[in-house]
Amino acid sequence: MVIMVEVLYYPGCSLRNTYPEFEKSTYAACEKLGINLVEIPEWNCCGVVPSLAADNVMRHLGAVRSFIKAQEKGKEIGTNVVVTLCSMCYNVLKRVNLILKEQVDTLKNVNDFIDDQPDYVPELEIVHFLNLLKNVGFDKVKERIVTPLRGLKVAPYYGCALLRPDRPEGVPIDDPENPTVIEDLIRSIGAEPVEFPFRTECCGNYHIVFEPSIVEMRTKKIIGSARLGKADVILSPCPLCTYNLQHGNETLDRSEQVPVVFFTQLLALSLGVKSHLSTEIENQILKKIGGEKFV
Amino acid sequence: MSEKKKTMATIYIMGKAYKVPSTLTIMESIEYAGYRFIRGCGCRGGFCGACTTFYRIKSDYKLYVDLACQKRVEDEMYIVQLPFIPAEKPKWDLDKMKPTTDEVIRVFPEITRCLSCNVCTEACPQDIEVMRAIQAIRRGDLEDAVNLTFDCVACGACSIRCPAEITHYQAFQLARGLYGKYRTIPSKHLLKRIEEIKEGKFDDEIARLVNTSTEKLEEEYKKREVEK
Repeated sequence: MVIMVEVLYYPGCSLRNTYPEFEKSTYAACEKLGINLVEIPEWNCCGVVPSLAADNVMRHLGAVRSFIKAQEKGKEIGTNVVVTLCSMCYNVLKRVNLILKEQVDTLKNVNDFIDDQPDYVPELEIVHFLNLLKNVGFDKVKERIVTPLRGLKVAPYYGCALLRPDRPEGVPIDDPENPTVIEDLIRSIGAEPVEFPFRTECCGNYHIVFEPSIVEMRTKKIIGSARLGKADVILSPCPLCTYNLQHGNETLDRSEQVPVVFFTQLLALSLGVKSHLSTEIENQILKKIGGEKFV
Repeated sequence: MSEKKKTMATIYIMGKAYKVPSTLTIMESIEYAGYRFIRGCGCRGGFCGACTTFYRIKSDYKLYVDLACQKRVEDEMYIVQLPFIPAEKPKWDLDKMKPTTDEVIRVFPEITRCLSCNVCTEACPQDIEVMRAIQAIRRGDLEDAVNLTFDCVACGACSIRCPAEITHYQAFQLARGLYGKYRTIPSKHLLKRIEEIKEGKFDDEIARLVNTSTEKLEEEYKKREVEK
């Protein structure tokens, strides 16, 4: 592999423990694309939910501890870019990092509290994997595609954590009202993006724990909307969204369900590497594009 | 005169001042002051974690934790013992579980509340990197958690200090159990001993101990060979 890009990589707990296929397909695709993901050693849980209280610094310590580890590793390999795959981790890390860049007193507070580690110097950049692909160039991605997913209708689902809030500036990975990055990816792998109005709606998030009916209500709408657009699959960028959408699918009749896959799984499939899709879904997709099963 | 003064330390046991020889451990000093341990004494050897003691030293804001049997007294030390940590011991069945983070979280969901403050690590009298081990479980790295917590005596000091109310030492027991059962090679001598127990090799000896009077047991205990 010719390495074009070398970046720090923050996996996150949900991804690592619940959806290994997301991570494995990403590694497979990166190998093909010349992207070297260097995992941050001993990263901490990001904290899951960003603190909404401006002075509740305690909630941000997990993220900061990971930044400190990333900063050490980054010096070693010569990069300050941290890439995440999970939308929730992205949202938390991005927001915490922006706060530390902007608020000198908060940074001092945090560094004083974490007296068992070197200080964090807020020079890291937090980037979602979709934007890393965008920076590499979707045309470059397209050049390496061996199995274009021609004729496959894909519903790009953004959810909210990648696009909201728009303050502090820089959190959304794309235009929060009219994002196109997932559509661009879908086109670059030869598939066809489906337009559907619920692509940036929230899946219900952590209500799945206490009030699953809210998640059911929301995901049924999202899936139904994608189905009306004749989507063959829904493309998800987030472990929690995927979990909730799959929960929504389970409450629907089989004929009304739309399979949910991670964007890196379709990317890997089109690059001719292991997609880590279930055999059933992979066969459905291959049948649709009239291709052969990749061995 | 000044020489003599150095040999004695003033300590405060639950607020009351005592002068004790400064060569004593906290546990010995408490006994020197006239208290008798009926709980929270344990093995006196730094292994059982029963004599967890919290203290501060005059003019120092830090709260320290040590095992009373291992830590020597210091002058102007404010001491309280916490021989029991209130925590329910949940039951689990290793045979029905898998060696995964999800299984540990199912029994101890509160570990997901970890704030990464590292106060647990500061509280540990065994110098275990407690937060690092909790985060290792979160990352799905049970092996790291197991290796980091090998010296845990389950004193529970971490769990008293934790703002997320995690009972770390119990979660580590589960992690070690899962890892030991599913990820390590079974030790031959252990399998042999289990066979021996099943075959009843120790039944007679156990029955004899059960039927021996307390006085006789005490006598035997005093005569026992501790080290060979």
